Amino acid sequence: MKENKCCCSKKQKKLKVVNIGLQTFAESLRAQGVTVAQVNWRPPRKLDSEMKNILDDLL
Amino acid sequence: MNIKEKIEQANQKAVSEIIDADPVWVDILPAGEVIDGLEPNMILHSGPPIEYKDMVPLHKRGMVSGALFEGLAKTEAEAVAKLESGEIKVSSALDHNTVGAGTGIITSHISMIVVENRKTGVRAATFPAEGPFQGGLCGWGLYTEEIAANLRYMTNELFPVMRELIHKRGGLPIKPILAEGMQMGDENHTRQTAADYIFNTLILPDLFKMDLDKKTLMKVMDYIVQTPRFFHCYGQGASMSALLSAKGTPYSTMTVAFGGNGVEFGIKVAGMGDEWFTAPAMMMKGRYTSSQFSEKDQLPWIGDSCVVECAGLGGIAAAASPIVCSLRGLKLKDAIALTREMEQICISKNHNYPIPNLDFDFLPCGVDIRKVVKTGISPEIHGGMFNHEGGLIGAGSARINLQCFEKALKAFAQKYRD
Repeated sequence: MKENKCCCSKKQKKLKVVNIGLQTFAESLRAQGVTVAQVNWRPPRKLDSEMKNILDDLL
Repeated sequence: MNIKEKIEQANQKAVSEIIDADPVWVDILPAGEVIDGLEPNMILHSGPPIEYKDMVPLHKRGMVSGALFEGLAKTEAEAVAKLESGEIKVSSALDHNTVGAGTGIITSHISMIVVENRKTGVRAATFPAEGPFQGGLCGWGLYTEEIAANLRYMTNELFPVMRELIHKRGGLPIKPILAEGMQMGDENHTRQTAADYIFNTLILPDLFKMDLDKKTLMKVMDYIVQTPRFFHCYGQGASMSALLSAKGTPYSTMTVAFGGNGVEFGIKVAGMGDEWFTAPAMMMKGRYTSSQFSEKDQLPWIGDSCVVECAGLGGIAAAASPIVCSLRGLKLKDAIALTREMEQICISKNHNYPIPNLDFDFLPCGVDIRKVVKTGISPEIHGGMFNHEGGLIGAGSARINLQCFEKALKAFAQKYRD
């Protein structure tokens, strides 16, 4: 049988993660000793057309 | 100049009224002498305007308490009848030059701390904590013979001494105390521990220099030193005097008032005069004082002390006070993230407040309704939790109902859009 070379193998490079958005994903990885860079991001807010037009005009 | 440029210019002007304000404690006066438009038969309350019949029980009780204290009625039944008929008028504190912390019960003979913004001459009045009764009548709407006697004692014995003290001193600048306190772990809403100490250090030497008998001196000192969060009313007065200076700036989308009445929460916007924009009052998240309490015991947001957030303190300044944030289970990094998040909805940064936990970056300042609506990020406001019967049952935070900002922006567009 071939040796199983999964990405988590200790022979592989140490895992480093950039997590975008939901912070709990970063926290759960950190709790397992993984180095995580957190990028605060959230999807753009969905607005109705009236509010979108107002913001386009005023901001 | 197009409308976007006009708004940007107006917002810079409005936010500079907060940043460049010079709030100074100048006096203690009866509410009837310092609050514009407060009539002898009028009782003020926290939050946006509401009729007596629609008030939550805590506010109704406060109104009756205020009527009894002021001598507008001899019995509770008479007070209720006069409040229902309109013989006793009710009015929102934030529609005057004052702040209704908690229930915000203010009548003509309540003694108020007067803070003057020396840059503009605008004065705001806030009621001080009631010594051993803490919230007492004004903040918690409670009324007993002991509370009434304490209020009379404060007015007749304590405050004449403090009035003479502050007059001799020529005023006490508030901003340096806020700034230093926020470098020492305060956010100046839920916590003003450091500010209390700084205030005491500045005021007590002047008190001891006065020609007072020892008994009087000790009583005044005990009141100042032993009253929890004594400085809170000064932070509110400083905030309100700055916000009132910004109110009425044409084309500005900056908020100038936040407050709740237990039914609705409301905001005001600099470019929209005294118009309120309201939505259902929010529930708070935080820590209760006892495991017997839960959300069902909690009254939706009541109180105007969140004017401090409107002026860039409190929840906006979460990074300054991880101690407050830890009360509800947050870590230092969460407190920093909260303030960083607030940057996204604010107009500027306040160079008066460099914060160690932000590597001495400045606190954000001046909430812009456009940015709140665009991002969906609502201002974080700190505060105490009231239960339905009165009294504090916890402390925590809330995010202002976004509908307030959406309504405000639609009205703003209707008024100003070409």
